[in-house]
Amino acid sequence: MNLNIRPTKLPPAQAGKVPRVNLMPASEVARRERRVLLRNWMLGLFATLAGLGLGVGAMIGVRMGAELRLAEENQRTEQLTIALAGYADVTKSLADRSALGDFRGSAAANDLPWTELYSDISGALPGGVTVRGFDLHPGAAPMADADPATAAGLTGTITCRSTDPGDQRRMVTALRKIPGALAVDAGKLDYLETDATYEYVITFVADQTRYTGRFAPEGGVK
Amino acid sequence: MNLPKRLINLIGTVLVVGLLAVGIFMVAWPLYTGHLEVEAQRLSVAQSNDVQAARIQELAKQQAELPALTAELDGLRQQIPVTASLDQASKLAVAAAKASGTHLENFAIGDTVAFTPPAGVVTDAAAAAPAPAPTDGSAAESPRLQTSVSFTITTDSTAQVAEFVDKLRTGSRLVQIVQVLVSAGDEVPVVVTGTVTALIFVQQP
Repeated sequence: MNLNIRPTKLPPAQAGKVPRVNLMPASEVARRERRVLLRNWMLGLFATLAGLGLGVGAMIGVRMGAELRLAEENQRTEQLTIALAGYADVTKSLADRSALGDFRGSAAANDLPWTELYSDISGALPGGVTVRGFDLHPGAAPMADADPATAAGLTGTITCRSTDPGDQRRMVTALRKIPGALAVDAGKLDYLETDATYEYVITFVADQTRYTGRFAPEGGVK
Repeated sequence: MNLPKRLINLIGTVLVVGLLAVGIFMVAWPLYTGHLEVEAQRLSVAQSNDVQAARIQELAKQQAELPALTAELDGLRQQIPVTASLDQASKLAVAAAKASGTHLENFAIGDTVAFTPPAGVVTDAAAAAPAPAPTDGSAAESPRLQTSVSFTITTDSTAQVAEFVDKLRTGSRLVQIVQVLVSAGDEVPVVVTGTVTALIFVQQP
């Protein structure tokens, strides 16, 4: 156990150094402090200015870069416009083609294969029946939302003659079976004394599945 | 210069903050937002440029096929000419009569009105009056016109009338058949008279 009671924490003797006594008058101390403070504030101000300058400079750079890129893009627009003008004939041809194609598609929307239809009808004639005439109208253009199998595509009457009046009913039955027949029925029947034959009318409606659609625009009905 | 320290601090703070505020809000911020605007503008221009470029690419491809396109267009123009060109309709009728072995009796030209898509004329009364929509005034405005024409032929069988109609349909000029009326006479040998009412079309420039 150490019984030495001399305090051990005392600072060692500082020989040869300026004694720690502040001889500066208080006013001088305050003045110096103010100077330091002022200088620090000036430094701070300049630093702020410099920082701002840097920031603003960077922003100007960014802004000018954007302007430059915009100018480049605008130049590209000009070039493209010039290039496009070089294709004026193609553009016009394409526009004309689509306009005329649309027109044709809609004008010939109710196009029907007449020979085929006629041979279907005459193929359904019972023996001894002759077609004396017909009056047929193609129907409306197909509608996008309507079923072509239920819309009238060809409407009219067919006039026939034969010696047997029962042929009218037989013919109606036969015509109902031809592809695309929508509504077939018997009309008036007359006996012609001069020829000793019967002349009768058959009303005939074919549906729109008989349309050829050969000029229909691609992608279906509009 | 005997400003108290607190005043120096105050002035310094005000100056720095003021400078920062002016610099940021009045110079840097407008520059930044301006840049954003310019950038947005550039993006939209670039987008439309890209669309344009794609279109030009497509056109370049089409130009390679220009002869085919021109040929197709010529075919279309023949079907739907720019002027009435009724001589072509007459030529078509003559050719169709010849090809179907029928005798062309009559070729008549009706009214020219603005085009209306086929609506299915059913009754005779409606057939007499051309489609309801076009008025005389609109004919001049619409570039699409339709002219009513009718052909009368005589032959010896009803089947040949159908053939004549088919030849009309598949000729060089586009024809929309409106009505085919066929009747056979009582004389021997039988004479079948067919009247075909049709529309021909004109696309004005």
